Amino acid sequence: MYFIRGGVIAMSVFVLVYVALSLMVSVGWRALRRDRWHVSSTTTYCFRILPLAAALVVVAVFTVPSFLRFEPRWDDEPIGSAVLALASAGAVILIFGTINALLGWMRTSRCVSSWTADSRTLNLETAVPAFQTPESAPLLAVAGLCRPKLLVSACARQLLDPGELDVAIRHELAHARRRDNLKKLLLRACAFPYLGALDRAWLEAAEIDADDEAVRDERSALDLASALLKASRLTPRVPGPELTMDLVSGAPGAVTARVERLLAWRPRARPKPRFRIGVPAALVAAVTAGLAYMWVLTRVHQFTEFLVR
Amino acid sequence: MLSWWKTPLASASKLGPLETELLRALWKRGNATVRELLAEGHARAAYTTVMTTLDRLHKKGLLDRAPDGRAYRYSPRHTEAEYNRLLLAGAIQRLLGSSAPLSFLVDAVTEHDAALLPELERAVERKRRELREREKR
Repeated sequence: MYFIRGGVIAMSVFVLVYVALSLMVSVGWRALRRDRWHVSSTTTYCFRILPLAAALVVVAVFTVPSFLRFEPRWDDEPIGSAVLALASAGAVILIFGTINALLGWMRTSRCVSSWTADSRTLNLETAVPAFQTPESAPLLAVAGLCRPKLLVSACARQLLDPGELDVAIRHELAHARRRDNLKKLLLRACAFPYLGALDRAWLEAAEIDADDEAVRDERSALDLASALLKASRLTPRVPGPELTMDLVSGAPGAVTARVERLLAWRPRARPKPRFRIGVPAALVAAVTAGLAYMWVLTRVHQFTEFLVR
Repeated sequence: MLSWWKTPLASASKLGPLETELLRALWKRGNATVRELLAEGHARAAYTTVMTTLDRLHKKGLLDRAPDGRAYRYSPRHTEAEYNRLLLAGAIQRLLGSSAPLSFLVDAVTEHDAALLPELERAVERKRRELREREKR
């Protein structure tokens, strides 16, 4: 009974923090978009993952320890219906997220396996293994969560000239380096209503970041723009499975916006080294949390007691 | 049966980020030339990109334009509320009235994007020529 009560409380706190933060992120994102702030793919992703990460931290660092520290083992306190409802909602969210992520992963694995079944390995001297896929596969894609592989369709080698193919491959390798497929899986695991726009914004920002990493000079910018246009010309366009990064993934309008951006490419000045406040801020927060930890645990326990009744 | 697709607003439901940004700026401002939009920081893009995008919005039936010196002055054809109402009506009509199979809808989206491709391809070729000439010198 003691551990069941602990589980129910942990799940209730999880759902409260997760839902509250998801709603706040949704509202905050709309405000950012309205004010047309430029947000990088990393910031967009951190913002999107914040509710899940924060809910897990609150449960693991505060709720569970406060329960173990202050909850008497012999106390046969009844569990209120509100907290049971919250815990059930939390369980549903976690189960749905897990199934959603698993289904996406299984569908992608099946699809990629069918493409690579009779494929031959390409000797492209890239950091990840490369395979030639049939014409039914997307032109170029990166698949795989932990061990990414580059998929180059037979079409790509006919359609793109060497310069275009080279920069398109660099674009896909940038996705592999950034572990974008793994990030997509995590997004599927924490799907939440009203956050779809944030998911799409991250996908578009990730494509732009991969473009920036792939392009080295004006010539390669034009090569990538041309490769994107040729890929868009493929009819019917073959969309990749969910957990792959395709050369032209994203909304249809996003491809033309990327091409326009590449047409206006200019060499960027190296960013001046900025004073990074992230590490000192994290240290100050950790020291403060350490000093106030017992006080926080007491307050968390009072809150969970209120919740249980 | 395809009349809904041929209306300008059907294609307007798939606006790109820069198109949306410029349309919002014009709703706020009432009317503007390319230079005014750039000067006020409404778009972080090249002059020609903004000009092409406004021209595209005009062809989609979302903007009116009138000559202003050697340039055009653009103004939104609909207010934001009217535009949203028309989009919603179009979406509902498509949902309720369309018997088109899924493959058609997918083709239709590609068709919309494809309309912009020749223009962009020409721009890439022009830039490539310029680059080659610069490298020769």
